[in-house]
Amino acid sequence: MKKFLLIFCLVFTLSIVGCVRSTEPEKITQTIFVMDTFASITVFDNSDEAEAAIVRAFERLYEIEETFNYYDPDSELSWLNRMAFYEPVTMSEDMNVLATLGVRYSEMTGGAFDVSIGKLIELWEREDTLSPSQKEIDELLPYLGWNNIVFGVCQDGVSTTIRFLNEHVQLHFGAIAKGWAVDVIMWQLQNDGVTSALIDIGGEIGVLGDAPRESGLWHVQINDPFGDLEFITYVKVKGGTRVATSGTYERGEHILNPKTGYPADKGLVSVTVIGLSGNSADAFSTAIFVFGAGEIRNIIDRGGCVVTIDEERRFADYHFDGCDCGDSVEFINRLDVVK
Amino acid sequence: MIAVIALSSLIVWMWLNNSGYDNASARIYHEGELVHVIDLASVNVPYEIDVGNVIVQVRVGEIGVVYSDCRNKLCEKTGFVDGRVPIICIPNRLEIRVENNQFDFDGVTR
Repeated sequence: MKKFLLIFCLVFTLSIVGCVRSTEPEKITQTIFVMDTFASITVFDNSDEAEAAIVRAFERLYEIEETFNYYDPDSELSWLNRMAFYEPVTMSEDMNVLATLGVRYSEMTGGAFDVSIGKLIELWEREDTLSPSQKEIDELLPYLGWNNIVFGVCQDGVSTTIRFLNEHVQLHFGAIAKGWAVDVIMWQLQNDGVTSALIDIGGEIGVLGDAPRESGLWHVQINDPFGDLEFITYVKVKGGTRVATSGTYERGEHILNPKTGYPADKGLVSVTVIGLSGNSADAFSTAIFVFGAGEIRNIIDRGGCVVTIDEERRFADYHFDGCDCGDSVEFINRLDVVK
Repeated sequence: MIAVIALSSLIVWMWLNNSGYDNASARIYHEGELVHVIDLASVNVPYEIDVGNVIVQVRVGEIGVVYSDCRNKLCEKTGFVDGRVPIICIPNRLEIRVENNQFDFDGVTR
C-alpha cells in the first residue's frame, strides 16, 4: 500500500510540474540581416499564428529597407534625394511619415539630430582618406539644415510633396529609421494577435505585452560600451516601452555633430533613451550624444528616462516628469551579482 | 514519505530548470542566416571556425572573434562572451548570440 501511495504521489507531482511547464508560452526567435544590421523578433506565444506573424513582420522590414536605403540608387529615398531640389517630389505614405518626424525632431533638438546631413555623412564614409578636410566641411555646412526642407501638397489634395531649397541637402534616416521600424513592427505584431514579444533592430528594442516572468517586466541590458564587461546595467520596463541607444559600440565613432561637421565629442560613449516611441527615442539618443548630457532637459520635453555612460565610465540616469519607467533603471556591479 | 516526495519534486524541478553553462548555446548568424549552433558546455578543446572573413574561437562556456578583416575591429574588442552581450560585426554581417539561462535578460540595447 505504501509503495502504491509513493508511486501515486510521484506520478502526481510529475504531472503537476508537467502541466505547469506545458502552459508556459513557447519562445520563438528569428533573426535576419536587414537595414544594414541584425533584426530579431522573439515572441512568447503558443498559437500557430506566431511564426506567420514574424514572417510578415520581416517582410515589412524588407519593405522599409527598400524605401529608405540611402545607398541603393533604386530606393525611393535615393530618387527623392536626386530630384527634390529640382521639383517637388511626391512621397509614399511611409516616406511622408518618416520625413515629417525627421524634420520635427531636427527642429525640436535644435539641430543636434538633423535629418538633412546625408552629404556630410557621405564625406566621412569615403574610403579614400581617413577624414574630410576642413575646407570640404566648411564649404558644405552652410547649406545643410532641416530648414532647407519644404513640404507641400499635391494637386490631388491628398498626397504630400517634399522639396529641397539647395542641392546639398540629402535626407538620411540612419539615426531614426530603426527606431521607427520598431514602432511599425510592434503595431503589426499586435494587429496580428501577438500578445508578448521583443523586437530588436540593431539594438533598438521594443517590447509588447508582458514578459514571461512573474513581474511581467522586461529586462533590457544596456551594453557595456567598453567591451570588457566590468559592469552590467539593465532596465526593467513595461510592455509598450522602447529602448534606444546611440553609442560607439557597434559602428565606432559614426555619430556626427551637424553643427561642427565632426564626430560628436561631448565625452559620452553611450546614451540610452527609454520611452514610449521608438522613433523619438532613437532620434533623441543621437541628439543627446551630440550635444552632451548638459542639454538633456532641453531635448527631452516629456516623459522618458535617459541613461548615459561617459568616457570615464561614469553612469548617470535621468528621470523626467511623467516618466513611465519609475525606478526601472538598475545598476548592477557584475562582480557582486553576476559572478 | 513527504521528504521523498519533496526531494523527487526538487530533482525534477532542477532538471527542468537546469541553468548555467550546461544550457549555454551559441548561435552564429551570417548574412542573417543561422549558420552554426554550438553547445558551449560540450566543448573539450578550444577550436576555431571560419565564418566569411571572420575567425571565431570556441572555448568551454564562451565564444569570441579572434580575427576579422573589418576596419574598426569592434567584434574582436568585444572579447569572449558567455551570454550577456552579443558579438556584432556589421561589415562582415556576423552576429553571435549566446543563450544562457544564468542571465535573466530579454534583450540588449547597444
